[in-house]
Amino acid sequence: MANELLGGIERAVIEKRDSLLVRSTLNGDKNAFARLMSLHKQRIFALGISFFRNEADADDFVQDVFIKAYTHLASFKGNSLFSTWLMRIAYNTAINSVNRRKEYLPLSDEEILVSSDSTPEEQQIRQLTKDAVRDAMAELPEKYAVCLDMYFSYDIPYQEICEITGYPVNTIKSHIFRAKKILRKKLEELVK
Amino acid sequence: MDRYLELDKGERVPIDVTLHLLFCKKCRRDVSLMSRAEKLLSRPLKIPVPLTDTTIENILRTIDPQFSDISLKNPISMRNWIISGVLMILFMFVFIFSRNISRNLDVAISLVFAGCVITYILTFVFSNIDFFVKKISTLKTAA
Repeated sequence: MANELLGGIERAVIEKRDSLLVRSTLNGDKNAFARLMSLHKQRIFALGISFFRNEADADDFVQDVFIKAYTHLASFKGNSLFSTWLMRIAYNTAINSVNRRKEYLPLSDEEILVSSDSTPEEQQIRQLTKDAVRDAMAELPEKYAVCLDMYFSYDIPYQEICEITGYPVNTIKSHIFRAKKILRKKLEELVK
Repeated sequence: MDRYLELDKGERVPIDVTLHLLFCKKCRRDVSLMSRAEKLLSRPLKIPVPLTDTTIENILRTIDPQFSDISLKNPISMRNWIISGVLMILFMFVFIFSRNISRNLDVAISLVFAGCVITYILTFVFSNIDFFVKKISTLKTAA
């Protein structure tokens, strides 16, 4: 219950913050756009790594995405979170890019998900979660791997994943459900 | 438990599932671990990069060739926030206790001071909103 409430507050604060920054950017404040980039760059870079598999191309991809976002910022109406809108631009840019690798590299294989400020217990839980996501991905058609990453690593809900990728929401839901079951089993083993 | 696993992020937990969780210690522990695991995995991608990041500077220069990175420095440090806050409160005390003000004016001045304090707090919160977002996320992880 408390978790739900805090989740709602967090989402509302993020929504308000991003819409204020978007409005300031549209009024010509470049610093506001710099703040938006600072807040969302890590996610776009991570998506770039998954599609391009090297930092130089991922960096070019980040620049490409943010320049597109800046150019089309006036079309952001606030119907979804700014992060979802930005991820949709990023996903379409990656899919349409000629440089991208054919196979998607799951984020669970990457060191980008390592956080330096975690306790050993947190690191263990994070590792188990990465393993669970990877196990679930192994049983999936490859194109759905990105959906699991979006849910678990990018913290995006089902409907928004559907808006970004265009995959049916029920398919996304069932793949994520399977991943959650694997995760639960792994976490049960941890406490035993 | 399967019904809980079907839920989306931020989706309201149905009342019967909530009731079950209240009485089933094992499921409660599993739910708590699951939400902690999901939070922990997504946390690294939510960490903001510094404003002085090279990619950000390059993008800003592409958008605006006149752009100077000096403007990206944080204009107000925490020390300045504290000093200005303390000075504001001191000024209010000095003002209130050093003058004989009529009762009508007293109410008006109190309202002005209250307005100043609210503006100060709102400016502080919105200037440091990342800190508060992070704080809420930490509380959520702990819950």
